Amino acid sequence: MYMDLISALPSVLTFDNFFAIVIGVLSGIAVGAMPGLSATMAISVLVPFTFGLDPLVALGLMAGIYNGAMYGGAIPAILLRIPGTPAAVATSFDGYPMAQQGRGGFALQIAVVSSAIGGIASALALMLLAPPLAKVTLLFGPSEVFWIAVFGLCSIIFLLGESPIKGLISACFGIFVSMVGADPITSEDRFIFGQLELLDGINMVILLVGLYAMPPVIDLLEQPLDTKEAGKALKTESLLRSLPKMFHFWKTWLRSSLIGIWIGILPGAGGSMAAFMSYNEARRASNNPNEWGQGEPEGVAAAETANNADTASALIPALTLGIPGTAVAAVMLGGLLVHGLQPGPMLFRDNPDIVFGFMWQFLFGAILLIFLGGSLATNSFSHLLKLPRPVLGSIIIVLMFIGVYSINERMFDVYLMLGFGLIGYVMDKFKFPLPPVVLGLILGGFAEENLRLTLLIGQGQWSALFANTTSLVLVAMTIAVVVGPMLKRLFVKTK
Amino acid sequence: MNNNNTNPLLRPMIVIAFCIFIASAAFLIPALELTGRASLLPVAMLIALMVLSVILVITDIKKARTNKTPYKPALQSPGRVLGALLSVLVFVTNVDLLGFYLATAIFVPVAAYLFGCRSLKVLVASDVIVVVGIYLIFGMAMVKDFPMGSIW
Repeated sequence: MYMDLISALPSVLTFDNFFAIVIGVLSGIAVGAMPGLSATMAISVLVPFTFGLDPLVALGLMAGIYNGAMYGGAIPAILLRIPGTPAAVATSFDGYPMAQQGRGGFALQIAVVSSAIGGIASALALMLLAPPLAKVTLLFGPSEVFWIAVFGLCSIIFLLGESPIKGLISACFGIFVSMVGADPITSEDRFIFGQLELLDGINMVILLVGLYAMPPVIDLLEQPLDTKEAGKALKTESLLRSLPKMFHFWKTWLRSSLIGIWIGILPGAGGSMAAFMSYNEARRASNNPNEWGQGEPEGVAAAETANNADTASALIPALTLGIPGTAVAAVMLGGLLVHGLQPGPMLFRDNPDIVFGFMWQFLFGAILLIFLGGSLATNSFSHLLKLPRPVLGSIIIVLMFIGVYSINERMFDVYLMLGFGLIGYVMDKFKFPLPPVVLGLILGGFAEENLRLTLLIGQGQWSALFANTTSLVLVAMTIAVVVGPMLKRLFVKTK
Repeated sequence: MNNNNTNPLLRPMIVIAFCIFIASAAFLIPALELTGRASLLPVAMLIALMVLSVILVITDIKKARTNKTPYKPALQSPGRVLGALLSVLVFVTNVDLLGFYLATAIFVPVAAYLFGCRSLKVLVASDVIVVVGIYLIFGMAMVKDFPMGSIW
């Protein structure tokens, strides 16, 4: 089972791959350091540029960005109390007070070491857990695959966001978008209204760029940001000297890594939940909980370990079942699809070099974080906060244009992206969750094809969907995911 | 946008729900014309969207009745948002007319200036870096062709 993992290692150990991971980590840190920009946005803007690249090189870039951005978010969280990414909110609780006490450099060193440890733990979890899970899912037939898609959609709708109604609307919209184009079985045109450009369906990248890049760009242009404190030189000593001062965090690193990995595997949860939960647990276990929130270094370690430990583990359900655990994982699935790689058990059988190579890239990305996110880099990246937001916003708009136009070299796609961007902005402002749209688009076609195959095999009998034990287990899990949060809410209300 | 409107029909969430309902109903007409099982999931999704939009209206009205705390507007500065959206649209249409490189050379400094960057040095530097950078990376190294513009 793990032989494929070992045999994939040589394919990763090339100059191109390492260069891609280095570029990915550095640009991830840069993106994460800029408030308003997230790893999700960076990867969705980047995906179109990777068309011409070798799939493994492209995935290395994405893995690097994901790892880098999770740490990069800590830079403004610590220096300005403005989290660069939502997952860095908990980092600011103790990181910012440390910066005010003149210990900002040390706080950032704790953040980079903890992020790397969380990332390494997460990559190891992905390597250990994904192959056996993929082996089990290889036994699944169309009805099980259909129920997996339904389970994935339900779990992200009901576990994510405050309103299941809005989540359901988002998912239905995503599924509907997946139906545009030729019918997968009869090839009948659906909702193309004479536009031949829509015959092959709506390209995932167009939707991703519109939904995930447009709202933050509009926000960049909408709100000015006070960054007077940014860019000041940080007092730091070398990482080698600081490292021994962190060794006593080992229990926190271990606990937070486990929390992060667990939260990453759960569909619908994400880096912010992992960071908050880990911060609370570390505070509860601390001998001096009253000092937390006033510059306790362990608080930074707990939050940063957990939000990086959730990165690769979120890809466990994504790679094996096609169900992403987080929004970034959903975007990464889009990146895989762009390169003709269908996530799911077949990926492990058909492209073991790529899927296992991707796991190694996550591990190397996390290790490289320590070397690339050191004092010099952190000082340089803190200067990025001084970049004028309107300039940044207009540059991203141009990059969005290039990315989407390059897919098929036609303006139709650009206008389509603008339409999705507008929808994404409205959804974002009115708190309709965006990940169910992407998941709906990924799983919609997948679910429809398998539903119809099951009905064909079962000669039109709907009972074919419940004909075996695995399907029934998946139905039960889906019901539990839908009913569980409702019962919890009811219980809290009556209490 | 203020969700505290006394007229329930003007509350933003209700306007959004109404738009979802109308759009779903409009798409339902071609969906019902599809043959056999090709219409199964599209029709199911569109009906689900219509039902969910009605539920959204009901829950929003209920919420408005019980919630006494003032509602925080979704947009801090609607004018700037509209301006940002318009500037993106103007850029894309200008690409069609003027060609990609010229439209980009105009768009980057103008948009940055309009949205608050007043430093001439920054505007000129960013414009030159972006246009030359795109030309070198995408035009030369990746051999990408961009629209030439219809008025040339």
